[in-house]
Amino acid sequence: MRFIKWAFLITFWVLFGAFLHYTLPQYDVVRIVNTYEERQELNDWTRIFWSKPDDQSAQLINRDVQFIQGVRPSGRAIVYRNEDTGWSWPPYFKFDTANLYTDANDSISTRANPEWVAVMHYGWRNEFLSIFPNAVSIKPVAGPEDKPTNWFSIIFLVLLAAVMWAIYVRWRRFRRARIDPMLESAEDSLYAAGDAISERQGRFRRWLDSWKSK
Amino acid sequence: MFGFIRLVLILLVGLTVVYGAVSLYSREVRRAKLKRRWKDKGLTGDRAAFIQRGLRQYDRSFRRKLILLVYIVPLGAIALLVYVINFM
Repeated sequence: MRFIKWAFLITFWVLFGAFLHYTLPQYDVVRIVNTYEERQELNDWTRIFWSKPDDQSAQLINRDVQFIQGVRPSGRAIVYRNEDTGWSWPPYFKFDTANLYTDANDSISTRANPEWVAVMHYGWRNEFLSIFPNAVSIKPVAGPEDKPTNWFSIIFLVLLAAVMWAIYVRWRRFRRARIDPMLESAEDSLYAAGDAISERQGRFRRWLDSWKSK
Repeated sequence: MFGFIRLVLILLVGLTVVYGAVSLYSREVRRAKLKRRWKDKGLTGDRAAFIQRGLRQYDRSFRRKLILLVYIVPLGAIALLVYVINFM
């Protein structure tokens, strides 16, 4: 029972953490090397990792998606998708995909003469599932070390922790004040009922025994 | 466009539920406060009228209007986000 409880708790918090890690914005400092457009098949479960930029796209099973190719300061490659989030989840309200594509093309630079940009994005890159983080904005930065501080995520996580702590403390107080005494009194009356029954049985048995011949 | 309408409708319904709950809760807190004041000060006379007058004052107060922030904060945040993401 204890094992099941812990397994459940750990699974829940890992999923919750993964959800936050996927949804909250992150910054990468990269050098943009190219952009391309490719038709994507969207009719399997990995559909959840692609956007619904507008209403008609919900029914499409494939459509063209823009991509932005970057290289990190370490030399490793990273590819972003460039899609509107529209009014749906996650709530970035990104509508300027075409403008961002223009910015990205404007920021293309070579290895010999690098031009570093900070790409704000959400989502994960996974080669096995062929999923890509969605680039939200591109800002020029001074160099590969000049990574912007992620103020939004810091403030959001602090506020979320505060709210969850406040709810947890109130719930614990409520449980102590209302539910624990109720359980205890239920337990007490259960024991009292048990005692009363055994007492009665004892009397009944004595009465039965009184009929037996000695 | 349908996505926008759906978001606004869901938000309005959800926020209205929150607004109603917060309003009721806040008014009950005020009522409890008035009762406590009546007892602590040892006031005499018409207790119901005292509480009614206190609640009427609360209904006109600025504090009660602050509950409208339930609507203003999320809708303002969305407007700000649309501006920051797309036009900055």
